[in-house]
Amino acid sequence: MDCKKIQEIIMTDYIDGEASKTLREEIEAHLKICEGCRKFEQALRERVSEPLRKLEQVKPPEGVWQKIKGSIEEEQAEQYAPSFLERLLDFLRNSFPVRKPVFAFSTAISVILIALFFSVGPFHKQQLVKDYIEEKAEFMVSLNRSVNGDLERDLSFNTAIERYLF
Amino acid sequence: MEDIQRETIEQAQAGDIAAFERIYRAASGFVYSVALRITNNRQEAQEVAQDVFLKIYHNLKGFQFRSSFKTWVYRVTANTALNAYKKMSRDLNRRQDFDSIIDTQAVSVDTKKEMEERQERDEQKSRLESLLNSLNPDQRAAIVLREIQGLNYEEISQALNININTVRSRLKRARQALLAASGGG
Repeated sequence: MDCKKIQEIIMTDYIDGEASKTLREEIEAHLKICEGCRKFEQALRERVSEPLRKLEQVKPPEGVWQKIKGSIEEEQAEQYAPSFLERLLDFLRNSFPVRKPVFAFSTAISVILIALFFSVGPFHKQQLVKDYIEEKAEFMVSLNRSVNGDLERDLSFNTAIERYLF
Repeated sequence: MEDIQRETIEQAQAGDIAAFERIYRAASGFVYSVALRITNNRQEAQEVAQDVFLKIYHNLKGFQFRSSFKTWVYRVTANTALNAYKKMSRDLNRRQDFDSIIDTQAVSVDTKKEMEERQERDEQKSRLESLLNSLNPDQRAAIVLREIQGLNYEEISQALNININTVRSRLKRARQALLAASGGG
């Protein structure tokens, strides 16, 4: 390899540690015998590579993160904010409270089942007994009233036979 | 760039902003430094950094660990910074404030020797920065990723979406220009 080719490799794969072992050994052997290429390699390291590698990493000002965070939070707030249609529906729902169909349906079914239970179940019979007792109680009260003369007043037709018998 | 654990990435994918902040803390130095060296403008670099992290946040759920997370960050950063620089260059009224990069750390009271050393370092840094400015943006991106960030050819190739021979060619031209600009070669 001539010096031009050697210097091209020095500027790239050799200085960057990308050269194969064989290529690196070939370059090193050339550098031992060629002062021009040795000076070139030294100048490249001292004036270009080493100073650049010494440049430190620079951290951004804290304000950059605050701006990023602010943008993300703003986006998240927009993402979860209700749309115009959702806000309108909410307004209507609050203004005119209407049961949701699913709740209305389940309520109606519950009412029907309870009514059926009381009408055909044991409670239905209990109601019949209660009515019967009330009816009989009223009859007893009416009998009592008749003893006190109410019956006479209620049933009297003021006939001769009545006067004879009572 | 500092290592980022898979668990942290998964937490961030699930919407955990604290986990996303850990990613930011680990990668922001790399992102901002690359953006700063490529655009050579602090304001622009801050906007690039903001843009890069918002892009990462928006696309994080689609990241499936088929490639390295770092490589993905390298690529997003390099693309965003190069696009920002090209846009900035196209803008006829662009600002000319190619301001020198000043450390954001607090300035401490130095002894005379320390002051001299600091001055020397600053001069060297300033010289290097003006040397970097002499490169075209593609060469600058390649040399920044290689020399300052320490990426290998494969990683640079993926970050800049170019083949390895193009990486080699850009580095060679960049070094030739830097060597010439630094007074020899």
